[in-house]
Amino acid sequence: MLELKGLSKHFGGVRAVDGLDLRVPRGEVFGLIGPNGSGKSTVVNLVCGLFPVTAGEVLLRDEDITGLASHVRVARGVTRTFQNIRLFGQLSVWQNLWVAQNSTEHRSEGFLRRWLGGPGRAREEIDRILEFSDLSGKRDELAGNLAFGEQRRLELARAVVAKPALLLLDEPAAGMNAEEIDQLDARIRKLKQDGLTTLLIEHHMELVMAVTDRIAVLNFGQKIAEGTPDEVQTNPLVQQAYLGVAEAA
Amino acid sequence: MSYLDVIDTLQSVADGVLFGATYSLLGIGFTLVFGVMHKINLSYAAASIGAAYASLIVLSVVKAPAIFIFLLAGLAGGIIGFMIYVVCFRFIPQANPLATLMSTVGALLLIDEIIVHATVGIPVPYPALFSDVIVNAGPFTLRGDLMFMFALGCLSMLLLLVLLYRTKLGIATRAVAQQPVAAQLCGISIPRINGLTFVITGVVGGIAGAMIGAAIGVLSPLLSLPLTTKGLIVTVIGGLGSIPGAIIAGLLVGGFENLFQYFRGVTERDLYVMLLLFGFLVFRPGGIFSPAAGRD
Repeated sequence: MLELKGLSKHFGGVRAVDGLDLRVPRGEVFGLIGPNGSGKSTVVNLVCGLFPVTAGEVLLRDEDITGLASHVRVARGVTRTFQNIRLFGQLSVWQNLWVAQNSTEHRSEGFLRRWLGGPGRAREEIDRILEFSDLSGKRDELAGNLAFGEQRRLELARAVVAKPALLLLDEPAAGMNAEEIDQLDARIRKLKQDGLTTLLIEHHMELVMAVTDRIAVLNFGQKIAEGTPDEVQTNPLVQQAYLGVAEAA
Repeated sequence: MSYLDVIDTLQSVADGVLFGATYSLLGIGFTLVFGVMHKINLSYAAASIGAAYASLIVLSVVKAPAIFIFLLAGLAGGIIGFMIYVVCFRFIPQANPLATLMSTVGALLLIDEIIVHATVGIPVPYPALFSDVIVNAGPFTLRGDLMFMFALGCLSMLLLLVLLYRTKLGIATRAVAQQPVAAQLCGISIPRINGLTFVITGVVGGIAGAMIGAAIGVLSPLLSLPLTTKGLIVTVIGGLGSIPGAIIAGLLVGGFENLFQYFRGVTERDLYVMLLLFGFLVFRPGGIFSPAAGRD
């Protein structure tokens, strides 16, 4: 589904991402982990098109999307959530979802119908997503007035309402309690059942180990290991760089 | 103060409030662009007057009832608005706030110069509608042209509010204003929304320009600078980025201005409008409706 070839991003002299090669197979939940500042979030920003790349290619379904603007990538099926929540605070929960419904099938409706018409059949889809996110009771509340956990759920809902092919989750569990993380785990699995490919960046190791099919480990912008959760956990390089176990022992 | 003085005072305030609808429209234009892009378009009032001129030209070629002049002015305003967006904003680095400010000052001067050269600096008459209609309400007289203008202004504002709060286009515009990064990752093209914002504010400005022409009865290039100032004052008093604020502040400034014109004469009137602004800047610097935290 997603392939990165020699992807690099330099900020001045800092090599945030340095020659990264990565393949995320269709239908899998792929984990990307690494210590703080290892370049994980930069990878997400490069895949969704927020920053231009310094070198390398981003391929989606074998098509080069490296030069596309981010809103065009959304139309191609790439959506994301943000580590620091970025909802439209002065819009209602329902409007947050409506405005994000910009998938290809809605684009076919024609400009006037899409932008000046009512929600039409979008309404059912939004209702379904609201239910999925356990936000049905909050549909008319302003997103800015929601509790933290609800805002996190709305972030995820807004990213999946456009029916993406590839979902980028940037630390979706940050600040969540154990119960909320369990619910997030269940939602990621449910989305996987529906055929969604997910790239998950997360610090919460229990969640990553439980929910992912494969994991890549970044350090200083380079991939130092890749494999199944079990392989990665027992990899001495990873323990040294990321968990610091080897030195501590 | 005699009974007649009270009546006259109220009368002039009422006339001012009716004329204030044009200030409201101009304020909306400034405030909407600021809300969406966090940029000030200083050429806006000049473009609005330019659109009113353009509607005169079209009307002189095509024979149509005078009422179409508002439609034509709105249309011309939309086109001019889009041109200003392309020239002054689209290809100019947005990170430098002064760059677009200066480019819009350039557009302001350019539009003024074009008007001065095309009309040799002579004011041209503008058709006033319903100027012969006078409604007597008790001791007050209501001018038909002002009432028509006020009604048209309210209708324009109502349509704009429906567009912004009820359609997906408007909600997308507000999404860009609140959270541009997330908006583009919801599939919204920010340049397109910015361009559309200029078209929409241009239409509003064109209608305001035609209303001003109709109320005064003439168009002159000398209008554009005072209107720029008034529009900005309305925007600041209403609260930068707040549309309801711009509407109320426009009517307030209109009424206030006429009140002091009545008491102190036309030469001193703007002095008091500036004092009103000063009062707001000192005691309520956020304006009537300081917008809640928008983009972060």
